[in-house]
Amino acid sequence: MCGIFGIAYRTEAPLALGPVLRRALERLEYRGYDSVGVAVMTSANSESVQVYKDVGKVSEVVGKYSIDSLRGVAGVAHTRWATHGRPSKENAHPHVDCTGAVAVVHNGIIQNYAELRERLAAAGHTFRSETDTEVIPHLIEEYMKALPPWEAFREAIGQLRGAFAIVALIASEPHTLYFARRLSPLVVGVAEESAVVASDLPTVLDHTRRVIVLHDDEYGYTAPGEVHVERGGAPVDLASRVVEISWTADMASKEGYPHYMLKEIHEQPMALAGTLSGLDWDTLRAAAEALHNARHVYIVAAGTSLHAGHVMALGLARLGVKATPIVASEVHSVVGAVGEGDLGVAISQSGETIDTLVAVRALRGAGARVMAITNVVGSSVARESDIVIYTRAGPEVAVAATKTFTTQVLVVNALLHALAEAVGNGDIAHVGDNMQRVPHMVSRVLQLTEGPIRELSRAVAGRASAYYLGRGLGLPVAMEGALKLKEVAYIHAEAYPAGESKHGPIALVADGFPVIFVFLDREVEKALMGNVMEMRARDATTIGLIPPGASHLAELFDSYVEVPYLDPYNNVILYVVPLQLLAYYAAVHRGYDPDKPRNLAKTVTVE
Amino acid sequence: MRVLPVVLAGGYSDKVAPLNNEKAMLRVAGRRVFEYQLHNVLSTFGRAVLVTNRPVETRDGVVNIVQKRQGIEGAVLAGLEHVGDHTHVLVVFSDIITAGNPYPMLVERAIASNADGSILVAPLGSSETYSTVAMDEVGKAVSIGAGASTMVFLGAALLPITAAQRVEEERFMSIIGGMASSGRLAAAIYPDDWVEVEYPWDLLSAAEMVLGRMDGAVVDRRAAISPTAVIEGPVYVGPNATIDHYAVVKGPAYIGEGAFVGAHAFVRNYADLERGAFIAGAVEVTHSLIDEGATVGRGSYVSYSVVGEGAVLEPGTVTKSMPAERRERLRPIYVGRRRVYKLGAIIGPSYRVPAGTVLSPGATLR
Repeated sequence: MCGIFGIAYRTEAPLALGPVLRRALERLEYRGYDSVGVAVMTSANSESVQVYKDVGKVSEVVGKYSIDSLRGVAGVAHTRWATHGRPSKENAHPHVDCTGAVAVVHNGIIQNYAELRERLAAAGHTFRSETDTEVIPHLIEEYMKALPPWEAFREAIGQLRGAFAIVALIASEPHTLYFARRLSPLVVGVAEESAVVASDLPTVLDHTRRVIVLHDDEYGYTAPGEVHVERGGAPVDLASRVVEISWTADMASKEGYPHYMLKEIHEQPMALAGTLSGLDWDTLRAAAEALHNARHVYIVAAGTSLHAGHVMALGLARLGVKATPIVASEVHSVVGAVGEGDLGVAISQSGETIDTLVAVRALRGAGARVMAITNVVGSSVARESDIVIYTRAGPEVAVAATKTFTTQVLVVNALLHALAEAVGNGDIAHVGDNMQRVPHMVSRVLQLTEGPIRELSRAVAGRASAYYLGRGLGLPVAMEGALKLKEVAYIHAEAYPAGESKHGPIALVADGFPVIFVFLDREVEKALMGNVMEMRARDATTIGLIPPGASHLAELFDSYVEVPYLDPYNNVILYVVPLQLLAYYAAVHRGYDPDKPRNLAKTVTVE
Repeated sequence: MRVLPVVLAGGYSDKVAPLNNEKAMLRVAGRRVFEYQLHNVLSTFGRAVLVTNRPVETRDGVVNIVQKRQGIEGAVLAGLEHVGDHTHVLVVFSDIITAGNPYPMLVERAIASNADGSILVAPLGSSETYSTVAMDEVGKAVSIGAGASTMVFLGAALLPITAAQRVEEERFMSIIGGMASSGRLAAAIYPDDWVEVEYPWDLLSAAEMVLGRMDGAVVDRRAAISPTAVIEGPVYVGPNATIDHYAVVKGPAYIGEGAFVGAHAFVRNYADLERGAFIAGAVEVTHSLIDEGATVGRGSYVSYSVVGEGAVLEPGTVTKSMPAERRERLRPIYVGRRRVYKLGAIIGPSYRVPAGTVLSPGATLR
């Protein structure tokens, strides 16, 4: 799970390449950040590439090697999140061959690397790292003994098994980048003066708005003004594949916010408004019909997206549709029951989450149709699904999902509304009317809760654990709140259906143990009040998110925060926002960088 | 955008009594209050105009101007004497100490939102005396001092010169309020800790924040540390400071230049001993600020207290520290599920406390 980038210019005279590579690294840092590296062709007739790489964050490595001052005609860059081999200078990318003429950056896993490495070592190649990636440059070097660079690259790729996105720079062809994709994302930018390849769109958008999103098993080369792609030995027609991207890469910078996470939390009113105005009701009605006609609905997702899936499952049940939310990586446990007439729903922000992608393939393989909810146009999950609904939240850079969750829930609510109308259910139909008010209401939630939440975060920040409890639709909100606290503040947090808390979890509760309750549905209020009393009796520190003016609830808690109230479905969005803020401020108070939680990557593209 | 930073360090306040009523000149961890924001401004812009009541010694990049007219308006006006070819002025209230540097954010926020200027805001649990700032969906300030919001104005505003010049005839807060209501000001959110120095005990919160951010120990090579003394945790020991036999220092603590810590003294966390402070033998000090040249006599116990410049606590003085009056002004400490507020005594400059005195919580002596 790494970020890769390559650029090659038309010019023969070396340009200020350093700032371009640094910018790309900064954009890609969210994809992995245990080590960083670049390789540069300093002139069009150098015989080898210059490599600078080390362990650390982008800013550290850029500063240490003065990467900003590099000049050249082409370069590749990489941010690493270790899979094979620990984070170290040697294991950082780019990796080069024996002669230093071939530099490779790679995201993914080469499954047969051990066997390739043995073969190459026997042929006299010297390996310097413990990585699977290093076999690639040596393999290219080996084939280049008999073949020109492009053929050699193509032969080398043919030997690789596993998941990969690769960009290679070869010294004898200084204006060309070689690339290949299988399972890991890769995007090619189409421009006249430069050739660009990167793991994600925002990084390419710094250079051109015209892009080609590569499909699995495609490989090729690009030079300024030229892109050549093949699949299975045959050229791919690219005429219809070039996409003009409308949103700007600038949206992915911090814009004066101290962290991306806070920026993205505050962007939610606009992101939700964007999602709302972009809803395609024809697609939603068709999707609602597919849900209505399905024998059984399997909702597959991972992490935050799964919590949106839980909201959907609860809503579908209320509308008489049988739905099961499943952790995507556990889909094999149920796939035996799946057959024709079933519908899979895949929810993934990036559309590249490997677990979700694998689940989609399993469901389709068993005969189900699949509907995708994703934020990234043209992503793998979107391409492999029968119906696609986009969330249009704009790029999300912070590892912890915020605006992509609330926009997913908005889309889910719109779907439920469309289905409720189709089946004539009045209970949920009004959710659609309230939806229009959600963006403004979220803005109000931010204003009214950020102060008291920051103060509460101090009480939570000093604790080793916390519980988040809710009932009904409050449960997915509690789950999301607990996940956020774990991810960015490194505080152990668990969410439970409030009624379940006395079947075990309550044993841990002692004086001062923080328990956060989510009161977003008046229907389950009475039962939830009882759970608060149970926790108070154990001297827990009780914190409530409650509707405004609910004094009978306010008096139950040590601390409470009033959150504007619409209806339980739209409240999922309103009530999760204070919990996002709670995790953010707890992380800041504990001195952690909430944008870069340890051990996590934004998009999990390895199983 | 060429920014002229103006740091307001003038004015007088009675609320800090019995301490020096020029609160920007009070000290926390070896620096005067105004020096914290001056430092942030210099590291962002490399230059600053410093407005004070009287001339002060400054460093490179700083122009010191003496304020003629009182109030924020008078201070801004004084700063604008150096307007030159600057397009914007950054007005900084120096009595708010922030744990980090908010100014790069403030500038980026104005540029990113395509606004004429920006103001610094922070989320606050209860807004009390602060001006609330209401914001719109895209994070612009829409009103100041009105409207339901838990964001408050944090004493820094980046304004076009032309807007700032209106302080000739209009109140400063009214100028930024007007700009906000016409959608011309972005709001930059400061998420980290900050302390406004308004009352004497705010110095204790400021010391706690500043000392709490120290990472590692710095002991000046000219300090004299007895071989039997124990120093633990983050601590700064300045030049010519003395730590005598069997003294125990448990950080975070600040021991300024030439300060003396006597034998068997116990200097605990968040003790801030300014230059030349004298801590006699067997004294215990915690969460307290002992200002320049003040003396704490043998066997005294000082907690959550401020001992003003040159004051003397004769031997055996004991401060009691709970519960506190006006506790809403203090930062709470969580003990289990309860918030605890503590305050010892505030002792004015050069005051002499007789031997054996027991001081009640919140006692103010002048």
